[in-house]
Amino acid sequence: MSAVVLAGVGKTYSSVEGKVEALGPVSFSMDAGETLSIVGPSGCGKSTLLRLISGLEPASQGTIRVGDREVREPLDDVGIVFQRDLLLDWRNIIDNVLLPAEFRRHDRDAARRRGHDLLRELGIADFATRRPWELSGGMRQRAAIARALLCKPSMLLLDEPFSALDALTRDQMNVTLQTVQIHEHVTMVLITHSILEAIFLADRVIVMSARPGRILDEIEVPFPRPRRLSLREDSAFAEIARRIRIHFEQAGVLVG
Amino acid sequence: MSTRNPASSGERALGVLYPLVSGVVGLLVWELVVDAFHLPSYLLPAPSQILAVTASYGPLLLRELGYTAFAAFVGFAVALIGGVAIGAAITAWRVVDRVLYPWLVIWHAVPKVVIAPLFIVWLGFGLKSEIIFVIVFTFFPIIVNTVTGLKSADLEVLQMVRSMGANRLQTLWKIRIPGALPHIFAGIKISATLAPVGAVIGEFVASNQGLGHLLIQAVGSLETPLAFAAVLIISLVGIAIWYLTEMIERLAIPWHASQRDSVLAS
Repeated sequence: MSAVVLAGVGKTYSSVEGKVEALGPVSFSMDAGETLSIVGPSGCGKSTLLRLISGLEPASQGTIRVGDREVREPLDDVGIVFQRDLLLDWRNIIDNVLLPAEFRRHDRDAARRRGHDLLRELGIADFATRRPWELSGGMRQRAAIARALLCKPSMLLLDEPFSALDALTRDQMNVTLQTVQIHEHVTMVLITHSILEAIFLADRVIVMSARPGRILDEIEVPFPRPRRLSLREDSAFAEIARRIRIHFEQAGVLVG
Repeated sequence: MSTRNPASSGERALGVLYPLVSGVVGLLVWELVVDAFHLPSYLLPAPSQILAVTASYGPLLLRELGYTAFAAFVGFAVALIGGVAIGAAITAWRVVDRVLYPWLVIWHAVPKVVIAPLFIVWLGFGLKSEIIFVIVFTFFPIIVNTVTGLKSADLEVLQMVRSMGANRLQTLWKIRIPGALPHIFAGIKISATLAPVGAVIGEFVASNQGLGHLLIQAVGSLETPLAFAAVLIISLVGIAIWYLTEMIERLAIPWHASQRDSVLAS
């Protein structure tokens, strides 16, 4: 059975100027432990799609199933990493990471142990008692990933998590996220603007059209893990990147 | 992590020195003007006279200060607790917001000093009237700032904690209230310094004790140096309250951007 199934999912917003069709309809499914990247131009409904899967927003049409449940309200076993890290300034890093366990009333000691393990895995164990503003952007986003993973979610949703980082930090974060993938075996949906990032991290890439976002292409990424950053220079990798780029060129998103 | 900038201690010294010099020069000019023009003390007493009267009336001033401070403290404490609770209710329930907020705005627009005598009619003469007057004089900034703070919570953070399974009470306690503290403290700083002013105005009309009553009596009997001494004490209390609230704010919200310099320096 698929871990996630979307069937004819669409989203329409109402505004003073009338109805705006933001997404779809889109249909796809995911297996447990699979990582799916979604790339598309700005405003194509990628982030909306993520909110629909998490249940933070209701779909205007179609159905979404996660595991054996149909999504009708916010799912309580999903970890979300947003574009901004959303760390709370009044809590230190480990207390930020422990936040979901407090809401779900999990065992405090076990959660704390798990939190410290995750910070170690993500390379920021030495900063557990620091305040968020004392950390760099990359370190803050690592803390946000640790927070999302704390309660061992059935699915990790990442909404352009590295878009605010510089190129080098972003590359390093891709490697770090891959390590998390390998250790945590969590089903992941990654929204990104970066074609290279999408391919590097995913088992499958979905390419979306401009608004209202529809699926233009689904591309399998066959490379075994762990993947090295140098994989991006491989001809098979470049071929997948070219295939995605052509979609954007045809749509007029990329010119030249 | 915390490297002390050598220039910063010099900056701090200058920050103390300039107001100090300016204050001393101002007092000297005042003293010289009174002396040069032979101004009578009932018209404008010299700073040296005010200090001498403050010293000689010390026990009386302290006793009256105690009365004023008690009324101000009790009134402010009630305004603080009530203001935060009403602010939270306005934020939590739209119906409370719609029903209560217009009344609060209307009440705030009413000039309190003008209606102060009515408090004697309603509540009688004495401490009770004075405390109630302090409450109505100070609660509005706390409510407005509490509402602003609680409504300023980051929408994405609220969505995030919803996805973490947070209920409304958890969201209020762990997200909205800590996030609102800088706003609430802004209200506290305004109201805390208004509290002794409210108590003094209350004593003008509704009390036979306190610094306000002493001030009115001193002015009435042309004991202007004593009136100035009372004003001096009230002003010093206001300054002390301001710095006290700043200190509590530093301890309560060391994480806020406005406090980070002191945190990093320590």
